Amino acid sequence: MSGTGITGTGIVYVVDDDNVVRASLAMLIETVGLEVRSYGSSREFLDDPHRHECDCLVLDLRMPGMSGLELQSRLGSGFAAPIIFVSGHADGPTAVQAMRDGAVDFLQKPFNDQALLDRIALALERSRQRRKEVERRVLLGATDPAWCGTPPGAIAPFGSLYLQPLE
Amino acid sequence: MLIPFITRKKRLPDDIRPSADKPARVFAALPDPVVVTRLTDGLIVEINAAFTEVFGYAAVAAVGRTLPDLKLLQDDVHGPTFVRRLQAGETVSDMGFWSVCRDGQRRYFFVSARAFKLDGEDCVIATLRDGTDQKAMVDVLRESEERYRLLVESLPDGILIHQDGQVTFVNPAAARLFGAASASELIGRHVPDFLHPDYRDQAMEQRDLPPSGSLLPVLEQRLMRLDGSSFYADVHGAVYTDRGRQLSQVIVRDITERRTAEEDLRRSETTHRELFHANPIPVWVYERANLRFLAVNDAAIRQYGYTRAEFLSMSLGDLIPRGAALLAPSAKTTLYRRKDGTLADVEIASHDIEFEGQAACLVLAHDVTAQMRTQQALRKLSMAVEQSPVAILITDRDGRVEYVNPKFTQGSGYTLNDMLGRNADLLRSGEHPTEEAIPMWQSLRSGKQWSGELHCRHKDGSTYWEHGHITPLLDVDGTITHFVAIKEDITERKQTEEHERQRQSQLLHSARLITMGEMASAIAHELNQPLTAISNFSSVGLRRLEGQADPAKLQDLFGIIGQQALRAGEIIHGMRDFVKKRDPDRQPLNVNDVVGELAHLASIQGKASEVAIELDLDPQLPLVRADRIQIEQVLFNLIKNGIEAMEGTSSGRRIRISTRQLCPAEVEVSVADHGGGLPDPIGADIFAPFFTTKPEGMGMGLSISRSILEAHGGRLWAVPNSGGGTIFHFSLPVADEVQV
Repeated sequence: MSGTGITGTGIVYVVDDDNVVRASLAMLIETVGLEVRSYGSSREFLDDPHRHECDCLVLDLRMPGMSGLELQSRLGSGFAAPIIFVSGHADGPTAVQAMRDGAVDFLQKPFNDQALLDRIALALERSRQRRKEVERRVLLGATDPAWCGTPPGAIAPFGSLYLQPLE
Repeated sequence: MLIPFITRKKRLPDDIRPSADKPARVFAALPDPVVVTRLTDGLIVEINAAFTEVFGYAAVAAVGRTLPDLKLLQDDVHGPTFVRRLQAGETVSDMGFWSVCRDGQRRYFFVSARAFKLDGEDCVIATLRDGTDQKAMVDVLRESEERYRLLVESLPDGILIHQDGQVTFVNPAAARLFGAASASELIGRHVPDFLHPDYRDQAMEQRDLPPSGSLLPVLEQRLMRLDGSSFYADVHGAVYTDRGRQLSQVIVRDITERRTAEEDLRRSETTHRELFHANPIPVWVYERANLRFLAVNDAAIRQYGYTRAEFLSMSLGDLIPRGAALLAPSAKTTLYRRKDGTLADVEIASHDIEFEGQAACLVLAHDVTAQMRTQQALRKLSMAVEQSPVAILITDRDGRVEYVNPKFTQGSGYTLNDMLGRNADLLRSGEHPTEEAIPMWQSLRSGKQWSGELHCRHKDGSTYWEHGHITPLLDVDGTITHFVAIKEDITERKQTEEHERQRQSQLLHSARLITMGEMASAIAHELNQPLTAISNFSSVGLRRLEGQADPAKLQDLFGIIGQQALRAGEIIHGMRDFVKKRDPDRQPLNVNDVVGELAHLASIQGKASEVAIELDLDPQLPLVRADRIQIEQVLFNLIKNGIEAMEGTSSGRRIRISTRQLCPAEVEVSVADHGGGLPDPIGADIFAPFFTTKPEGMGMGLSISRSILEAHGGRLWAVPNSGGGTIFHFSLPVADEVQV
């Protein structure tokens, strides 16, 4: 379970309605030196103007209000960051649907910590690749509005209370 | 007589010439005995032939002896007087003496004698006239007179003799009657003075005396005593003549006593007549020979409708209904027909009497029609009680048994004799607290009926349940006199109920298991949350340990891990409670608490279905008496239904649970969803068992919920939600404060 294989940097966004689970996720991810931003609901995430700074989104599949799957469809193709779904349910069909819609991975709670970190590492790598590709395209003169939404100077919402004493 | 004799003597002087021996011959021939005695010593000097004839003594035997020697003219009383008078020169005439003749015969003689000188010697010549018969007559007369005198003297009736209204004689009884100390007080008084003024005039009218020797009619008179008081008397009058005087003899008989007796009798007769007529019971007298009525009283006339005249022309047979036989005289009750044809049940008391000289029968005919009807009704009622298919027990006001019916004996094993006088509480098994009996007695003593179940012990020791309905019996004053208990053995029913209850409990349990089964994935998710947290925190901890982390920070971490493990445990615990097989237990509880706790379990399902659970609870809710788990089950069914109804909808995915007090006696819980609403065409059937709109549903949820609520005395109903969807309401009765 030792933290290996995480290289590079990136900001990981976590959306889970369960406070404790959310906090544990954030703390786990932070142990490998990644920055984590946490949200208690899909709505909270959508309201964050800095959401596009996301390099990897760890998203709970089932939540009251807007479910993870619904959030994924709202974000649409414009949202480039890879999405890792986590769920306490053995939602086979839902997972398949999520993957079809572009999720990079699906983990069933509870999961092996290393498995999650490995998936996150993979996602960040993928995100980096994609960013490079976009930069290359921008340099070539192509534009992608999905990367231009965040106004300069916008403040990302602060995460969970659980993060504070551990930082 | 003397003068004619002398005249004739003078006319015949020649025929009768005195001679010397003539006197001697005359003496000898005198028809009456004559004796001559010497005055000095009484020696007989001469007797005549008649003397010898009468006394049997010849001259030879008599001369020279005294009369007493010969037992002649013996009288110690009169003798000396007789002699003295002769010696004094008096002539004694017709002095009576008893003498004994020679033959022993006693004879009475009237002696006339006088002294004379015979041959110079004082002698007595006495003629003796036989007066034996006369003496006997005189004696009889005297005796009779004496008797009459005694009679008059001792007669209790007063005798009063008056002449021309002036009293000349009264006997002692009359003196007593008139209040005189002696007869002399009354002599010389006037008869009218003794008459009471009321009667005086009447008496005076009869002043003209009837002829002598006639008897006056007996008159009842009121007479006055000397002291002015009065008395009643029967007065017999008779008029007679005595020595030329016309006298009235009056016999006065005091009838005060008789009058009093008569008065009493008259009064008594009147009383009896009144009693006869005033008797409220018909009474009549009929002649035994021909059954004809001789007398009837007023009650008989009233009750039978005949006039007295009609009655007295009828016979007893006329009262007998047609077709009915004349009953034996010993019969105590019979049937009589009144004039209007109606029949009367009559109780007869008859008595043989003599009535106006005839052999008759006195009958008291007590009309007992109403009584008989009452008796029949009572008999009917008593039969009904006796043969009742339910056990009946009657006690006095203190609960002591006075009656049990056979059904009671059949059920309890106790006979009437076993129970008589004993307290009905002995039937109780005692296995159920006696406090239960207190409200029963309170209710009964206040005159109210009581119904309820009692646990009883059979005579053989076995126990059984019965349903008792106890009614106090009140008299006219409203005082309790008895209690009547109608009891029914409900052991079998109780067993069936118990069986049904267990079956129901089993069904509810199964339903909860099914619910849990249906929730399995949601529960798994719920459990996975703390497990995930535990897992993650553990990893963090391990990673920190590798980097020589601050122990204080690890402490927090392990704290969280522990809490999450407990959280997982609680979820399992809550579920276990929910599915645990258990007996229903109704307790006073706050519906808000139930809703609050269940919301936790419901939120698991809600979270899994992405449905929010909202609560809107009235903090002022009164307690209800209910089984917590069953109410949770109802709530859970409704919430689950709501969640399922919202499946496939994207907006408004929330369920609102609210509580409020519906009315003083009821608390209402509402579960509102925003789903597809009720299926209209089959709206009424949603509570039927196996009704479902869901492919996997059993269709038992609402049916079970409704039966749970109805068992609690509550209701379950559904109405459309104005904002779309459905609101299910259920109500529960507020717990009785006495029971809490």
